[in-house]
Amino acid sequence: MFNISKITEQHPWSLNSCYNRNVDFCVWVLQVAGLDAQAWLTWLTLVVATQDNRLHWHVEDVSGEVERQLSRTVELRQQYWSHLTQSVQLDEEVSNFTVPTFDLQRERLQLNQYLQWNEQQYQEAAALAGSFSTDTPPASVWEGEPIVREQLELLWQEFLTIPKDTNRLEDLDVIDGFYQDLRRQFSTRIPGLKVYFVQYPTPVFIAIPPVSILVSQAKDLPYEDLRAGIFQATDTLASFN
Amino acid sequence: MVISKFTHFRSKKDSKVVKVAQRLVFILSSFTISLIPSATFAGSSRQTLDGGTVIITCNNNTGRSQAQFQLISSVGTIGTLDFDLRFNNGENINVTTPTQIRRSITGFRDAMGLASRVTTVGQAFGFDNQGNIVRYDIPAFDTVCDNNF
Repeated sequence: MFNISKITEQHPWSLNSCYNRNVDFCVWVLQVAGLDAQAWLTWLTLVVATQDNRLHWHVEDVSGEVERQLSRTVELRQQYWSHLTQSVQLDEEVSNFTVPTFDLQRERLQLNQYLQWNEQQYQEAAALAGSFSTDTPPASVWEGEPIVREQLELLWQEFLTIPKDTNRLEDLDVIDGFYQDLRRQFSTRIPGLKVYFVQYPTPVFIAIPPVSILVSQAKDLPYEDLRAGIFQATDTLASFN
Repeated sequence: MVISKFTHFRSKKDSKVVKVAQRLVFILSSFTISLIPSATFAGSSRQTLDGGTVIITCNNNTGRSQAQFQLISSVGTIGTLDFDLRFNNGENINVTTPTQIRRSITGFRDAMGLASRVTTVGQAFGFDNQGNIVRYDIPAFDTVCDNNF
């Protein structure tokens, strides 16, 4: 979430951390069955590519979307101001205020710049995901031997029946504290960072180009170890790019 | 059983793939197959930018999908939400709510049916610490929906 009025030359840089069963499945498979390492890495990389948030950033008509968003912004600001003046007890002088004016031309330029960047990011992500979508089951992404794909499909069905750990947001909290430093160090080298927390019995930090890293045991690691691992993996990621 | 051998690393020292593979050698050698997780993580996603953080989780515990959200401003307050919860079963819920002005806003919405993924995208309005009205933008991101009892 960013304040759009502060977009200048640099694009907003996001840190997304998540639990994602498609990616977790790849690691789980490694543990229950094993795979040829190179084939597994190729598969994992493709599965991660299908889970890239940038696949949701497609803007079909940039100029049309700019105008739509600007129009909606003007409408909502008016609503917001009305809500404020109605719900808050203001003295007479203040309640006579009208909704502040905004530099729409400046916002139009900023939105245009931002949405064009979004579309460019989408194109990059889509090229990596190929014909697959975010909803493609991970077994279907396997491009090696068909017999392995069949086994993966069976394992996927088994994986879906495993109870889910709901104690999850604690792991995500700590990563936010790294945001400013990550942005400072890497925003010119990678367009954003996506951290997947995965179940694995030992601490690992794996860089999956162009924007993702896998992290295990995040909850149990000392703060400095977690920080060092994430920054090192992100640096590796940046060197790929 | 899927093939279980890890002998196919190549030795091109300059290959970036090999650098990742070398890291994996460590993983594979330190791993024992007996440690199979008894639980996996439920879907949840958290996105942080310079203006704040958005968290979405989704569960299918009641036979229909429920998305929970939280918006946290790091530059001031939030007072109006305007974002979509797009479930991949085709349902779309627009969250447009003027609320009390707060630094953090939470809520949830129930879909009519079951979905396996929800994507959120949109905007919010509030004040920054200087008292100016600001518009927060939420770049699209998603999370999976599953049972997480």
